[in-house]
Amino acid sequence: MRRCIVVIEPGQDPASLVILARTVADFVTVLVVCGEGEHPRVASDADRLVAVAAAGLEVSEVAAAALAGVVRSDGARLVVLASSARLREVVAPLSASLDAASVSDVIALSDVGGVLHADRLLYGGVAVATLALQREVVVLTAPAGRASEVGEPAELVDVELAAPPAKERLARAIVERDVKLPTAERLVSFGRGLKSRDDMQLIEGLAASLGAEIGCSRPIVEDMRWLSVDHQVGLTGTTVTPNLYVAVGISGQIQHLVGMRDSKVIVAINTNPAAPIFSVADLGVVGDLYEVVPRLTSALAARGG
Amino acid sequence: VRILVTVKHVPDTTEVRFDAGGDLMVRQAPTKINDYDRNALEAAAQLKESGHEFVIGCVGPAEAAKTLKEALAYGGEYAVLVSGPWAEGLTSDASARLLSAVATAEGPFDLILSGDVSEDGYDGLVPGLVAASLGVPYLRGVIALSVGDGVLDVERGVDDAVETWRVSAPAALSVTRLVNVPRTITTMQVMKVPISKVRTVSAGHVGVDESSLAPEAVAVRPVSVRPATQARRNEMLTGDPDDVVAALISHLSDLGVLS
Repeated sequence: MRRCIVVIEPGQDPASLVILARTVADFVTVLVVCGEGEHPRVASDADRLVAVAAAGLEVSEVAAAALAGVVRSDGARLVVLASSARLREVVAPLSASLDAASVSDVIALSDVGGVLHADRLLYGGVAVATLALQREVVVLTAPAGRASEVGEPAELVDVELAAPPAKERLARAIVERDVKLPTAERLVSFGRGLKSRDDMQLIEGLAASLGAEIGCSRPIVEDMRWLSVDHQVGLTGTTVTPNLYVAVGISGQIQHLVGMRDSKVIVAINTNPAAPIFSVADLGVVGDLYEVVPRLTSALAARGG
Repeated sequence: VRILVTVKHVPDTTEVRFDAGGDLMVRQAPTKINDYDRNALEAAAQLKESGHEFVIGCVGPAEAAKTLKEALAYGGEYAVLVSGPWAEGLTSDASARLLSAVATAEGPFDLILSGDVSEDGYDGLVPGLVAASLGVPYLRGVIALSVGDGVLDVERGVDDAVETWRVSAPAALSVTRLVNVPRTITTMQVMKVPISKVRTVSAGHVGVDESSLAPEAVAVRPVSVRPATQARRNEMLTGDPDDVVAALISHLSDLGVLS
């Protein structure tokens, strides 16, 4: 029998992580890491729902030490962390503390003669690698969505807080978002296939005709700097699961694919028929976005969305 | 301060393909410095301009020496390449052990500077594992940094927030591509770097027993690689743009995703 602890932050939906954990574990605990005085409520069908709430858990090394204590007393041999920016930083110190095997962005797990095997994407999403995790304890991350239900209050458990390392958070400023990618029903996303910033009006027109939010791939934010990071879909941006995802001029780097591959219907428009984005698309249009997008926009407008 | 910049030699992921027989064609792909590590090198180059110095550490195949010549053109004192027959298919845990061994053997360093992730594996674990192994504090997602008297002032992005941190040296930081715009390195600048500045050493030289890098000994062992497929319709629409658009709208309507 293998026990698993799924670790999330407040507001994250543990559902996909619990499903992943149940493929190899018989007893799954969901644990929410929160700030002092918080009492999170979580909708989950896990076997147990707990929370740790304390000042200082924003320091990854402190959170890792606290989690290691919970894992040891539970006897869990698998820890699945939601791949948020903060929890990703917890993986290494937690793994070191537990002498665990660690791996990021796992899409599937299997048990091969008692050894866990994990699948993850490699090389821009063209390949799936299977890795044998050859330690008694395994720590991994997997993408999680945003919680839409309030759910049950989590049982608070005590943790031992380690002395923080020589590292202190002095300030934290919430970045105001004018886009709501995590909750969007429809999304039009674009990438390097767009030749100039002015051409973004093509994307805006298509998004308007669909009533969609606008997303983009990493290079648009980090290299071109045409849009702010709150538009970015992918590993270092936002994970999205809309009903309709239209990828325009996006080749499909792994960084992008892991952020959108669970969308309900995926449409890809790209000139290169070998682009990895087509491997995750339901409908692939091999063509020049400058020819396809304006026609699609007016056809959608003509039928009223 | 004295800085160790870690650099990964990676295949250009946009050129990695499966051949007709289903074998991954990685060796044929051109190789390069991991993009994120260029930002780490640029950050180090800027710190060098204010009187600090940096050394480059790398784990990889012997041909990574070429990549390191380019990395040295950013101004590093020298580079250490840990290489051996085990280098192919090395996973994050073993890479991190070797890089922390480099940090110990060539140290002391006040700062270990890395890119947040590598383009090929996108695992993002190595910088944190190096920090954990060395027992120094670590911050990822760095978008700005400055070096003070024994402290590092850091801004980093975390999901929906920007955070300001103060970390005492020695520490490990990994940067995103927002931290700076790397300078252009010319072919001439690379040619001027003497190859003697790249010191290729064995695992044993930095104090890591080669047997601990064997497939059965590492924490994470690659088992297989296969083409990525998804349970998707993968219906391709080609031809005249007007026909394609009409077909697309018809499909989307059937799928019930249009109002």
